Amino acid sequence: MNLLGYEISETYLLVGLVILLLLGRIFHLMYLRMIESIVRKTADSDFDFKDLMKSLHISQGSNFNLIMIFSWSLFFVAVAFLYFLTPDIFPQWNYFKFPQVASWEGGFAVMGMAVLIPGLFVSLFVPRAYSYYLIHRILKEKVILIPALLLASISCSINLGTIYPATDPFLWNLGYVMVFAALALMIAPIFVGFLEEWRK
Amino acid sequence: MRPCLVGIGGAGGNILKQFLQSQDVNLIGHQFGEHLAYGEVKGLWLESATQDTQRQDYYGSLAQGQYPPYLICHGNVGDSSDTRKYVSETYGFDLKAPGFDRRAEYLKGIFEVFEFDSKLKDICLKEFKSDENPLSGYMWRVGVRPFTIISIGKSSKRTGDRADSVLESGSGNISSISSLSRGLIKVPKIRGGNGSSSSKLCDSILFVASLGGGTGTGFINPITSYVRTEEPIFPIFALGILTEKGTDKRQAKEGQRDLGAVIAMYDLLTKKSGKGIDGLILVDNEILLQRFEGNYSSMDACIYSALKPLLDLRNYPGDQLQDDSPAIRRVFWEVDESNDNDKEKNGAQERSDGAKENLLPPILVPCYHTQPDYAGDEPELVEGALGKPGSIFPLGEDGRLFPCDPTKADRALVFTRGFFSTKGIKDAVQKRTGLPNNKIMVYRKLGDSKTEDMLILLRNPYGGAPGEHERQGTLEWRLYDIISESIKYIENNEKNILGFQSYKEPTKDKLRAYFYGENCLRDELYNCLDRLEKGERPVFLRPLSIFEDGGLVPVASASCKQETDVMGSAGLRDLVKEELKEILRSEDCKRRIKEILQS
Repeated sequence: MNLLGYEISETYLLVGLVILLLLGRIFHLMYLRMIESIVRKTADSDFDFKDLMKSLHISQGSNFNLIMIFSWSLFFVAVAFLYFLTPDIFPQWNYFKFPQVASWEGGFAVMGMAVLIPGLFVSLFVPRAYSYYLIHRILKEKVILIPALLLASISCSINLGTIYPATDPFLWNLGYVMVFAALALMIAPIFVGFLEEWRK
Repeated sequence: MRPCLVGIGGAGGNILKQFLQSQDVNLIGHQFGEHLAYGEVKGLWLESATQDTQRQDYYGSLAQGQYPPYLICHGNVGDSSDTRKYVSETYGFDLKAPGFDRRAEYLKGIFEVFEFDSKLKDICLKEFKSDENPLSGYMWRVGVRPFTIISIGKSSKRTGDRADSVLESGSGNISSISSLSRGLIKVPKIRGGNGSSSSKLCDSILFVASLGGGTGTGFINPITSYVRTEEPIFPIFALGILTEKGTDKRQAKEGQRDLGAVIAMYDLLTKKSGKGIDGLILVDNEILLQRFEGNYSSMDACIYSALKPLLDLRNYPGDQLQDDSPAIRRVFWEVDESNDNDKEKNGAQERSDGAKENLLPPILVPCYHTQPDYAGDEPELVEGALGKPGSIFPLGEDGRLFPCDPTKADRALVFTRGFFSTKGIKDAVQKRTGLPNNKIMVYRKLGDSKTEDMLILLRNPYGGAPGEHERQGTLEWRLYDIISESIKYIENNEKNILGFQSYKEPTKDKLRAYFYGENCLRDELYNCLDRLEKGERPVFLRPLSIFEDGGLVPVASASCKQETDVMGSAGLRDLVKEELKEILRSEDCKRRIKEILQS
């Protein structure tokens, strides 16, 4: 697959997404440990890590939480559509392995729901991590873009599924870039928080 | 602490806007769930000028269940209200006045007639059933109370009953009042009145008002009195912004605004513990004006930033309860251990006969500094907030938001955001102020990582040495200035003060007695100047009222008689007996007893 002028395998690109996710997790844990270390140096008395988590907790707002839950749910759907909607990337596991669903007009919706339900379970827990960060309002306003990016990516994937067996590398690339950008935005509050602590 | 911020009047509304800025994502004006402000505070804007509420689009009508809300103070008084008619015909006050033209005495007078005129009380009770004062009762019950934990407390049923009785009110304006009240009374239920989300309700009240106007200065005490009837120890603080020098945008002269400020401060600071506010935080707009060159939005933003460390909820682990409102209130009122050499603390005075006067609320001066986290440690922050040692003038070059000499404070409450050790903060504050360790309270918040900041509330930073009123940059100097200006205004503007619009003759007489009578405001202000010159504190001692004797017959000095604060337990018992007798004899009491017996 040609992405931004380079020949890169889609599988590697998927690994890139996974690495980004893992980095988010690692940065989050490191952020908490760095805070713990600083607070321990200055605290008057000993405390549990749980106490620190409680102290760090801050409400981000219902709109923010709603967008993030929605975004994480959509993220899993967007990735599944990008990689598993056509047999181009994983011929063994894809939507067309279920001909009854694939030939039905509501088939895309069924696949979306099939991913959304387990995805939603994960999405309910992941956004909790944001409650430990002071997220700047400018960054908060940017999260509105995430659902738009993910929905656009899903649209690209649906288009690819509809025109299959024809292909359109540009649409796939566009879909991937949007998923990547969305994930980067979702991890940005954690990354920024980590950088600010690490800078000290 | 999670206060309910009550912005009163034009300036109060503008400053409150800063505090209520949404911290959430803006979804084209739509808000899922509750509005989120910094520190999860709630707030509302009280305004008497309906036209001012219509000229803006930030606040929505509380009557329509919108948030952030405004509430028109006289919203439940109909145009043809009997109470309004009586007050207008008897005193010349208009309960629905669209603003108070920088006349603090106007609003003070309005509230006092409801307190002291028994006939008016009867008319008012007949019309409004549950409220002896249709303005303050309405503002408290419908506006402020639903946002506080009191709304789910022991007295919620009583208020529910009151609300019902308002709905059943038989006044001529029943339809408008009922529809308004029904909409409004929904508010507490929506916001946790059922107790399910009590943790989100406010544990205190912080009034934000300009000192020197009409609306802002006049509403704090009456609402506080209402709160105190339900909860004598509910924390109530006030943030008063002293207006700048010179003539303001509305062409109100400095002397007139200073008089408004002095009357407001006087009334707020002479209400004793459990009867009035728990502390007055003072900000001088003159300092902000110099610092921000007249940019009012930046000045408002500065006040908001300065209070952020106080409102931040991210306490250090293990310190969660140290800065809840009751704890802060306790420190505000804290008095030193008895010491024969020091008989004057926080307004508590020992008289020559040995009897102790009740405590008076303290003055608190906020000092704030913020810096990037790499810029320095505790000493730099403290110096940024309090200024360099020995340097208290010119103003606006350090973080003091009201002129004062930090070394005169009797307590320092230090709120920080960042990562500091308590010892480091205490040492730095002690070095600058000279206060012993046990008089420096430290409240540490985790804050953010980019900047660190510090708010120091200096308690009563004045007094102790004579002649300080002549030293520029001291609190004595600033108070002396506004009190002198007020006296000048009183002396040179008798016609302007007494000849206002439709004042009736008895009102003019009462006001004459209040301003110009023997032992009245002017005389007392001269006494205040004496105290400032001598370095005594508190500055304001003797509560004054305009209509205390309640009658319509003009009485000169009697209306300003001093409250009998000093008495032994026997005297107190007699006084209570007399008061009880008086209450039992009143028509209102008889009627209520009758109602109780019938029910």
